Amino acid sequence: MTSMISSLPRELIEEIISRVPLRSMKSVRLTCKSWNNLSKSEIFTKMHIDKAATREENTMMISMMPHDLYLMSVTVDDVDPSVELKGQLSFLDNQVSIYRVFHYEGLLLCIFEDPTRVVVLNPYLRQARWIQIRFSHLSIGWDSFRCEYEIYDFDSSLWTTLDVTPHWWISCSSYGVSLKGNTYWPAKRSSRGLFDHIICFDFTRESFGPLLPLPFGATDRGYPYVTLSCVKEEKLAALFQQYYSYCKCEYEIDIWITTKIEAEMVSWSKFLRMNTKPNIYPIIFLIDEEKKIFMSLDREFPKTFLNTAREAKYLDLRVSDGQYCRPPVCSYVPSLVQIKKPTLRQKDETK
Amino acid sequence: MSSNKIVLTSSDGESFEVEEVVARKLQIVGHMLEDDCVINEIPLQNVTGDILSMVIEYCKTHVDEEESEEAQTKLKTWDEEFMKKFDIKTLLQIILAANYLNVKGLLDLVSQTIADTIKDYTPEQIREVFGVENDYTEEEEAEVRKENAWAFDEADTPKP
Repeated sequence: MTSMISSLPRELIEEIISRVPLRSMKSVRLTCKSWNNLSKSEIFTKMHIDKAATREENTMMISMMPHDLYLMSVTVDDVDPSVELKGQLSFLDNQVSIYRVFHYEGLLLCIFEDPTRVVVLNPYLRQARWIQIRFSHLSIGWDSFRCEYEIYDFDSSLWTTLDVTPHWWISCSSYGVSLKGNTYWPAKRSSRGLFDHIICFDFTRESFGPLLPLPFGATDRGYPYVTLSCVKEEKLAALFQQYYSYCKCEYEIDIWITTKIEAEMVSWSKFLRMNTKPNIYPIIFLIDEEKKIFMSLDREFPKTFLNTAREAKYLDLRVSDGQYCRPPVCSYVPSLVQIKKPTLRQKDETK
Repeated sequence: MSSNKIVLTSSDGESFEVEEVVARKLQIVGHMLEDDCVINEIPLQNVTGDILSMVIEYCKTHVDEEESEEAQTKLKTWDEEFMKKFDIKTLLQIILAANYLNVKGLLDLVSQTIADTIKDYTPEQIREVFGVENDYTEEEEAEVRKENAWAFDEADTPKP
């Protein structure tokens, strides 16, 4: 009986279901047990997020106002751009003050003002995992700065110090951007000079790759500031900006997008260079490569700067009286990625 | 362009004479031709004639994939119309054939078409249309409904 979808091999069922938008996945999971199990598997969640870019779903953004997380839906469009508040993240303890938030494939990493712990969330699945931080490793002196890297294993619930002697410099204020299992930061060879490279941490090999060049067309111009962002979870974009300066009322921004990005090689192509009046807060920026649209927050919140192929304009990110969407924000793609639960024994140990 | 003809034979003995460029769109055939370039008749065991004829129709249309935007739009429209011809049962047979014959474009197209159907259905409708048996107990089903709750309140305004 070929009319039964169950007679298809598993990989074909995965191929079909991975194209179902997330908002309809609830029905899929409720259809039968095997589809529910399939939708939780690592292979499937990976396929599903890989196809997210091809599904026409709204761009989502997570913002803090000021210490809670809010979900915003962003329509990056040159005709009718908009930002809409979708809701507040409700399951974290109200007492915690979030300091920074990072996104990777549907998972959020929240760092708190309380530096002893962090949390990894999948807001869509309502899953959370708290992680204690070992803090003894960071030492800052007046004339020395020592930096060590640690990696946390979700299976063993253990931190491991990585054996690396950095021959590079990553700015403490730089936001790392995660893409295809790797995290990238702007980097330079020494504490002096400009950021003219990026460096990649490969989580599979648990090691840093070589310094990769930022586009020469931009580094050549001596921009002091560079911010990275993701384009549709597929490419990396680099935004260069002139430093804020009171004596100038225009700022130059330069955006480049990768044409190829791997742990050990990168190539870039130019997206746009423009002079702007607004001074962009370069922590997040969103790009629609096909529509040639670039969006970022202005330093004067809640204004949002939007540059389309035709014009530059502003959006107001006010969501209700006295409540503004303010940085830091991060882009967000809801996903079915499961957060591994610590084993019971490990739970006991952390108590 | 090579005008070499190749005969493809289905499991139920139906034969189709197609140009080599069309036959090569079926990657399974492409591989056979690489291994031995003198074959001109290929039996395809796992696909019936009626389904094979549809796969060939797709391959003929997609034989020169032009880069131009106009050509792409035209192909897209053709794909949509082509998919409208089939019911779910046939679509499931085509996807099996596309998988066996290794026609990537058709596999993507049919998967997307079936996914687009699923996305508007309730679990009950999915079970009915695709012949899936509900193996949940009431409690288990309620558990899944709960588990899937979105952690963002669907509020219009933030809480004070």
